[in-house]
Formats: sequence, structure tokens, C-alpha cells
Amino acid sequence: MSVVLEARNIKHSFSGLHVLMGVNLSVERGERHAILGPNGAGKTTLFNLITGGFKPSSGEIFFEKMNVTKKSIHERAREGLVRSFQITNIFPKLTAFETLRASLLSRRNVRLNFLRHVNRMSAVKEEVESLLERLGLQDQRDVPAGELAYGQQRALEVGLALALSPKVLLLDEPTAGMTKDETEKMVELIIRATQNITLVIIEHDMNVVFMLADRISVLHFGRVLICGTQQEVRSNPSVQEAYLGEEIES
Amino acid sequence: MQLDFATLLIICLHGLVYGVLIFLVASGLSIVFGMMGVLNLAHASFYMFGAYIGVSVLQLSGNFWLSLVIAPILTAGAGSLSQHFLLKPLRHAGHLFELIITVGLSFVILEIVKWVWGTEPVPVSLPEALSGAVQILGSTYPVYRLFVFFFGLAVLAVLALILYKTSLGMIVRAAITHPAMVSALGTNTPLVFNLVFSLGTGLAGLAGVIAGPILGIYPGMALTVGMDVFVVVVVGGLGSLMGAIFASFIIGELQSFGVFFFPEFSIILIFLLMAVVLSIRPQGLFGEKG
Amino acid sequence: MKKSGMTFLLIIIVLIFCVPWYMGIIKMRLMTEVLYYGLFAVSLGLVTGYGGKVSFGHAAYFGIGAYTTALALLHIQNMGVISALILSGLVAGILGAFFSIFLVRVSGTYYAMLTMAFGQLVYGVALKWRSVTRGDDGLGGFALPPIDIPFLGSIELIKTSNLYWFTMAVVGLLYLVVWHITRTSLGVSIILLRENEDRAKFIGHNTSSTRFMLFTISSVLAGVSGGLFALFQGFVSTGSLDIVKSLDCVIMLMIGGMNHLLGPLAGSLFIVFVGDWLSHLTHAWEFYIGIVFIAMMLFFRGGLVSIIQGLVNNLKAIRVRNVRIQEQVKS
Repeated sequence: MSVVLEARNIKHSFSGLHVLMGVNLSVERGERHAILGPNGAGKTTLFNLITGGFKPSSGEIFFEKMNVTKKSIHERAREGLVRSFQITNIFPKLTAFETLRASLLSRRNVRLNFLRHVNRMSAVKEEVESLLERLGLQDQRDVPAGELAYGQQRALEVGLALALSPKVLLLDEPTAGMTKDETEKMVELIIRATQNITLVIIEHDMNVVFMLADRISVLHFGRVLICGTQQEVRSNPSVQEAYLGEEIES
Repeated sequence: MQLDFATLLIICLHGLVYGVLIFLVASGLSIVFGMMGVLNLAHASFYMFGAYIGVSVLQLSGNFWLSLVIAPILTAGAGSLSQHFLLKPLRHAGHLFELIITVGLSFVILEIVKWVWGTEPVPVSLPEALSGAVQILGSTYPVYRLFVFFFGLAVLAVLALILYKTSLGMIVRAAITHPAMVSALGTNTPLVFNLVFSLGTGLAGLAGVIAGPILGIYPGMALTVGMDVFVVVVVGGLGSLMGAIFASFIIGELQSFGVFFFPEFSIILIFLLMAVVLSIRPQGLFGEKG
Repeated sequence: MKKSGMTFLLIIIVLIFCVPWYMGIIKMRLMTEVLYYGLFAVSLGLVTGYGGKVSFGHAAYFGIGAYTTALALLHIQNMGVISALILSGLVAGILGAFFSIFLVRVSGTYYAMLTMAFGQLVYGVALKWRSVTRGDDGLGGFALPPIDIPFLGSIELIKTSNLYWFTMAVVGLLYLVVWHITRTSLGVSIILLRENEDRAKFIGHNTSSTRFMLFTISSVLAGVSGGLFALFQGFVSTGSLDIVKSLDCVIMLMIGGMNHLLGPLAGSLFIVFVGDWLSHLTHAWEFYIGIVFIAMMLFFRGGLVSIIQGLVNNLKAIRVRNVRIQEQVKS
């Protein structure tokens, strides 16, 4: 098993507030790796650092054995390191169709082409339609993203990332705020979509985690408490203490 | 003109006077941007408005000191109305529209001024007490300019007192850097915004009144001074009073020396400075990022 | 595009084409202004409406284009009008590309301020470089050579209707180019900038490159419109690139509507014609335009286009309701 994504000794502070204090993360190719931890543990910050939102105060990120710490957001995304957002971060006035099409065009490296009309690209159109179906959004094809129901927006949020055919997919609380049914559908989608790719997922919903994760890293106050299988994590005393000492979100 | 100490001193003093004037105008602009995120492109128009109102009060009453009191108050009132009816409704529409409506406001104020007072420069006479000149270190310097300098400093001292020694001032200072927080703490933010905006425009109007005899009163005065004010807030840092002070005096001296030594290039130099600062350090010398 | 939209567009195109047959010389000249100012406003609309960032210094490219055409016609032997316009576009484009390198690094209000700074810089240079531009005295005296079309003879641009049709052809062509771009993936990328620039990066877009291309294209268009301005006015001074010109363009764009392709044209039509009409009624016509502008910003931020669209939708709704009422009455 090879390591496809690695964060080495990541330390990060915001204006004196220490958020990450020496985080090591090692994700193996093809695995589904969950990141757990109470609010404020630094999970989303870690995602931000991994995908290039900003540079860590110290430490390095390796993707496919390459040091990407200095690479920009779009460079990492193009190489296959793609994330979705905890707070829905989409294009409000674009329809569901147009949204996914934007991602697909990017995957095909067609971004600045000013010669062909996008309406005439039938291959792209077909792919978008099929992706819409997989996401369960085919009826919302022409609805502006800003007008979609919350659960549909979350699906679109994840769809944006999926459309890029990433090598490593980072999902930040994809089921946040979802009903039980929506959560089930989302988990099914995630399982199908990540058959052959690597998944790193931040989650609060324990059921989701135990359905998906091969390995779990538990973050607590900016440090990794433990990284191991579900069994190892569940039986670990410091994890129990950390979670019993805080309010458990589920 | 020879390059002797006397001449240099005069140029220097001119620069200081201009710097104080610019700072009076720029401070309001800077604070409003820091607090509300809006760059009021009509700010210099209030400077002009104050100058015209001031000269009218002077002509009607014959009393310079009266105009010094009435014009800024009326200008502040105009500012308050503008903020309430034009800016407040657009708060939710985004900075783009807030910015653009101030453009419209600047046009309208300009046209009102041209309509009421005509397009020719309006002459303004100095009060007896302030005309004449004094001797400073071997040079003769107009009393009025000294008055402007010290009066301006006095106003700024009062401003600093209000900002740093009163609770209103504390709220304003807090709101400049953390507007959301201040609102969450229960302060009537819209009222504070309106007050601060009015204060800013009132200051600009005051600057207009005292600048009139020196810089002239004509429809283009908003644009001329506005550009320098603009450069000052950019270089100093939007939202930073410290930066505005520094930059005002730098720009004041640059203009003064520039007009004397490099008349061909001073306008280009000033904007080159601004372009460079914006490109390398957009938040200005003292401003905070974002 | 829907049928009704296409018909509407066709009517507009026909109306624009037939202007010399139903307008006198004076109004025709106004229409010519509407066209090149419309192009100028379109160029701003690309950056503002499409890209989401307002530029307060766009007259720099307009003015550079105007000066380029004037200087080319004055100093270069056998310079044709079309070549002059192409040159204008190129020079303006290079300037825009250069400034864009710096503009790309800032955002929000700072971006607006930098565009203004660059605009003033260009203005300052034009003002002081008297040997080339004659400063605020302005450049004049450049003749409009006729356009030679093989096999068809030559077109004298001195004739108002010919100049009008020539301007219409150039503006129409470039409008088509802009419309085409909005349908390509470049157009998609540009919209992403406006909708959510941050997320665009996370799906692989180098937004700086997109912005660079957008601004360069925009400045080319502005340059050509400036060249047309020079041809029309026969005189170019620093008024063609000062801040007032830049702000006039912003007002035109916003009144017309920055979210629609026809918005800029509607805006220039309004400003030029209503402005002309008002100026005969009162000296304070700019005041009234200013008031209208402020009112639009408060109540109709989508501009004239949004007002018309609203009216059309209301009419349709009334028609549908009437049809329903009729059907109810019948049954």
C-alpha cells in the first residue's frame, strides 16, 4: 500500500491562535480515511492547508510523493487533489446543469477556450446529464443552485468535486444538516463514487464514519490523538476521554 | 526663484498647511471605509459643498467665523441625509453598488453647485484679523495659512480626544476594525454609521471652508483635492488614521515641492506612488489586510 | 434563444441598420455616438457585469485608442482607417494586459482604486507629453481617408451615413465577438469569477489567467471604440481619457443594465439621446441624469434592460390571465 497524501508535522496559527500543533496525516491509496474531532480541533483548517487555501505556518504537504506545499489551489485541484466544503460553496445563479458542466469543462482542461460554443459540446452534455442522475438531481437540472433545497445543494456541492474525477477526494462534512434519508443517499453516493479513488472525509455523524471508514484519525486540540482502524479507535481510552469530556455531536 | 532657505521654508510650510487640509478631508474618508467598507467617492464633493456654503454664509452675514460654524453643520446634515437615503438601502446589495451610487452622488453635488453658484470661481475675502503676514525665520508667511495649520491641528486634537477619551469614540474605534462584533454587542449600528459618516463629511466641509481662501472655490475643486485625498488614504491605508496622518504630510510636501521643482511630473509621480503602493501593499503603509 | 427574443433582436438590428433612412443628419450623428459609446460600455460590462469587478479607469484604454488612431492617421503614410482601428485595439490591449498583471493581485475596493490610479497615470502622461499629444490642447486635423473595397469602389467616410454604417459594422462585429465569447468555455470561466471566484479555484481554474484574458479583451474593445470616437470627432484631447470619461462609462453601463448583453447599448442610447434632448431644455441636464442614475441604483439595479424585461413579463402575465378569464367565461 502506498501513501498518496501526506501531511508532515503541520503547525498553523492564526494571529497567535494556535490551531494545529504538529499534525501528521498519512493517507494510503484507495482507502477511505475519516477525520474525527470536536469542533475547533482544526479539521477544516487542515483541509484548507492540504488543498492550498493558505500555507501552513510550518510543515509540508505531499501529494503523490510530490511536495505541494507551495503549489496554488488550482494547481493542486488540477492534479487531482479536490475538496468539497462544509458550508455550501457553490455558484448561486448557475443551474445545476451549468454548475456541473463548469467542473467537467475544467477537468477536460477546457477553460480559456474561446472558439467552441459550450452548447455544442455534446460529449460534455451527456456526461453532465449522467452525473446529474447519479446525484439524484436530474429533475433540478435547470434550477439555479441558489434556489435548490438544502439537501440538493449539498449533493451539488459534492458533485462539483466528483466531476473533477479526483485522485484524492476530501469531503468536509458532506452530510451536515441532512435528514436521515438524505444522509443514507449521500453515503451510498459516496461509496459508489469512491470505489477506485482515495477518500478523506471529515464527519461528525458516527454512523456515517463507521459505515465508510477504513481508518480514522482523531484530531483533538490541534493534534492527532490516534490514527487506526475503527476497532483501535473505538477502544482507545484517550479517545473515549476526549469524546466524553466534550459534547458529542451526532 | 532662488533656492535659498527662505524659499525652501515657505515651500515646506505650504506643504504642512496642505497636509493638514488633506488630512481633515482624508480622515473622514478613511474612517468611513474602515467602518462601513464603503469608499465614498463623493467625499471630496462634500469638501466642495462646505466651501460653497461657507462663502455664501460669509457673503450673507459678513462674518467668517459664522461660516466656520454653519457650513460644516450643513455639510454634515447633507452627509447624514445621503448616508440614510442612498447608502443605507444599498448595504445588502454589495460594495459594488455602494461605490457606484457615491459616483452618482458626486455628479449630483457637482451639478447642484454649478447650478446655484455658476461655473466661475467664487472669490472669497479673508477676515481682517487673519489677513496680513508674519515673519518666520527670515521669511514672510501669510497669517491665514498659519491659522489654517493651527486650526486644523486643533480640530484634529479634538477629534483625537473624542475618539480616544469618550465612550462614543471607543465604540467608533471598535467599529472600525470589528463592525460585526460591535453590532452583536447591541450598539445601534445604523445610528453609529450615520453619525460617523456625518462627522466625516462635516470635517470635509470644514476643510472646504478654511481651504477656500487658499485653494480657491470652483467646481473642479472636488476633483483636484479629491485625487490627493484618494492617494493619501491608499498610501496611508484605508481605515488607518495613523497612516492618513503620515501620508497626508508626505503628499502635502510632495505636492508642494513637486509643483515647484517638477511641475511637469508631479501629477504622474503621485499616481505612480499610488499605483506602486496598491500593487505591492494594497492595505497601505499602516492598513490591515482584508 | 427564445423566438420572441430573436424577433426582438432582429427588429433592433433592422432599426439600427435603417437609421440613415429615417433620421436626419443630426440624429444620425447622435446614433453614431450611441454605437461607439455602446461598444465602450460593452467593454466595461465585460469586466464589471461579467467579471464582477468595477473599473474606474477604463477611459485610459478608450483614450489610448483614440490617440492611436489620430496619431496613426496623422503621421503614418497611407494609413487606412481599418488599420488604424486595429492598431488602436492592439495598443489598448497591450496597455490593458500590462496593467492587468497588477490588477490581478488585488480585489474588491482596492481593485477599483487601482484601476482609477492607472487611469489617472495614463491621463497624467497624456497631459504632460505635449510633444506627442499636444496636452489639453488636443490633436486635430487628421483626415479620414476613404475605404477602398476591391471591385466595389471607395467609401467616403466624410459622408455622415457612410461613417454611421462603418461604425455600425465595426461595433456590430465586435458585439458579435463578445456574444460568441460568452457562449464559449472562456465565457463560463468568466461567469465563475463573478459567481464565486474562490470556488472556481478549487475546481481547477487559474482565476488570475482568466482575469488577465478578460481584461485584455476588454481593453482591446475599449481601444477600438476610442478609435471610432477619434474618427467621428476628428479631434482628440485629454478629455477622452480623464476620470470623467471613465465615470461616464460606468453610469452608461449601470443605467443600461450590466447583466445583459444589450444593456450597454441601452445605456448609451439613453445617455446620448435623452442627454441631448435634456440639454436643449435646461443647462442642468447632467443633474437630471445624475438623479435618474441614483434612482436606478436604488430601485432598478438591473438597469433599463431589467425594467423592460419586467414590463414584458408583466404584459405576458396579464395576457395569460386574460386568456384564463376568457376560458372561464366561455365555460
